[in-house]
Amino acid sequence: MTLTEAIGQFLYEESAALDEARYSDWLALLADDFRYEVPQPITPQSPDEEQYSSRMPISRESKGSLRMRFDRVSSEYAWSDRPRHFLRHFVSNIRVRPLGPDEWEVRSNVLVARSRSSEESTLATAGRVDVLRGDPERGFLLAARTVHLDVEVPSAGQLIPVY
Amino acid sequence: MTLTEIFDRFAPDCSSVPQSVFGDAAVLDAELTRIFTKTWLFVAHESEVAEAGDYVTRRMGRDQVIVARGEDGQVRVMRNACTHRGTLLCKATLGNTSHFMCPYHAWTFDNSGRLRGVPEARPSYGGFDKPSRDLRRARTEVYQGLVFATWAEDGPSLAESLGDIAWYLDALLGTATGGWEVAGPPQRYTIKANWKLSCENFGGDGYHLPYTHRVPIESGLFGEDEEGGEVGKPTGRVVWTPQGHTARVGYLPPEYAEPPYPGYPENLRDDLAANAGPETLSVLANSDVVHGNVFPNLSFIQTAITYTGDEAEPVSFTVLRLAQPVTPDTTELYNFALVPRGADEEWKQKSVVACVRTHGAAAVLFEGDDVDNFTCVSVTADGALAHDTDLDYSLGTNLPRPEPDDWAGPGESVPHDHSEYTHRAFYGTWLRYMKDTKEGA
Repeated sequence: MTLTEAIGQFLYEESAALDEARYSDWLALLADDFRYEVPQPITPQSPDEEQYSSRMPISRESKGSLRMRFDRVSSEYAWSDRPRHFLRHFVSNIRVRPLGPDEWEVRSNVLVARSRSSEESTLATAGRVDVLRGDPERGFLLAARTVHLDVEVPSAGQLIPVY
Repeated sequence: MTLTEIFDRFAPDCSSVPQSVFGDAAVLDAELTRIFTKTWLFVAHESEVAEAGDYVTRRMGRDQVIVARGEDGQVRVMRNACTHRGTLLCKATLGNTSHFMCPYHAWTFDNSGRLRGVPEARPSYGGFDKPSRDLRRARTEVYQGLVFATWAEDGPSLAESLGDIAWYLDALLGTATGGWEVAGPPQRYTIKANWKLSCENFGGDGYHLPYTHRVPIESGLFGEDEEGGEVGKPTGRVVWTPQGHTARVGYLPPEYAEPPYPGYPENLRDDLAANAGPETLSVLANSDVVHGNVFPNLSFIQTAITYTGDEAEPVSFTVLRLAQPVTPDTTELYNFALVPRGADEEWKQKSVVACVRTHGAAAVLFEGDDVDNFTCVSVTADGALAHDTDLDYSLGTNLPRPEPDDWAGPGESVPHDHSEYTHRAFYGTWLRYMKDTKEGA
């Protein structure tokens, strides 16, 4: 298995843990200093200008805050998480670049489908920039993820999943 | 059902409200004309257009506008539509420019809205009266950094229109030396719910807190249960004004005796308190949250969250929430995080994180459960039975009002945290505008 294939397998398993609501499995794949960020998409005048702003991001989470988020799902009063959503990640276009001896920048594209009850499905596409630590023998940990949504004004349904 | 039939279903004190107000397309059409072209509407924070030429594109109701600072330093709000054929002039969200050129026939307007150039004005038009084709400008005024605009050419000034809610805006945004600024461009997202549901909730719905937000409150997000539930219960005061503006001031149990402005670094807290008057300090003493709604659709909240997974100590944040109607069951929400200009960058980022994780567009801890409720209210407003259903807004009508009342905040108010006085004030004003069909704007 090549490095890119091994990283691809890691990303597929990682997404499956979210889709299948195995939250403790998913949290176990995160480095303790994990940072998750979804910058705010904006439409500047010139095509040369930055399309995302991190000054007031849509999400800025840590392993601690994500643990809080998923711990609450087991409460009967986690209204927005109960009943459970249908969720499916599709991961593609994986590109790997070394950052250090055991650290990799991994870019990928995702399509994420979500629905609940009789709601229409919300689809969203995004580009992801991840930092992975580890190697194919010992396995990997996810150390950072930045999500570039392909829509300036997402629907609330598109903002529910972790990408 | 006609609009008149809908209005006639309201109880005189708005203690019951017909469900049609959330789902009926004719109601939204009337709101857009009778409320959104008549009232002062929040469009931007001054700091978003800090330099000459800075602009943001926004909407007032469903009407597209440009908020721009002209070369003369003045902030203006003008319709984002070419006066030739109505083409959207500016498609960007934000930027800096001296002129806006229409992509269709290149009519060109300066950033004060004046028509400056018309191609072929002489050969093809035979001369052209440019001033008659300037962009339509809305009356614009700024209060505590908040830019408001209205299409009403006469009528009350912004200060008159804000009335006593201005005192509460002063308490939140008027005491930082150096003022406040947006942390960054606002979050924007759409929800499948009527615009009024966000406004009436932010306006003063203390009743939903222990139930909708049972998980974060029980897990000690506000620190209220940290002594094992042995401390007293939080309380609150709801406030309303004749203009339909509302607020709620939430208080920690008395044992806390928390001084005003919790969740700021010490130097900032001292500054905020030093510039506040004695009445403000008395109203904010032991308060952990102030939120409300400026009629029709600008909500605000300032609070100190104690824990979202990382924090060592409470961090205060301030967010403005704008609810723009799109369709009866679709609303575009904007969240503007405000931070004191004088705070250091590290603290500003902490404040943004506290906001994003609890009251942001993707915040599961509070916002997600609220949006879920707003959606669930709107989805049942779609059925035939909604037309002869009236919803209950009577909470607190039978509770006695204290006499005498020595609370220092202006406006009408009662110490009944779990009541719907603010909702009734919102709908009372709503009904007044909706029944007034005389031509304005």
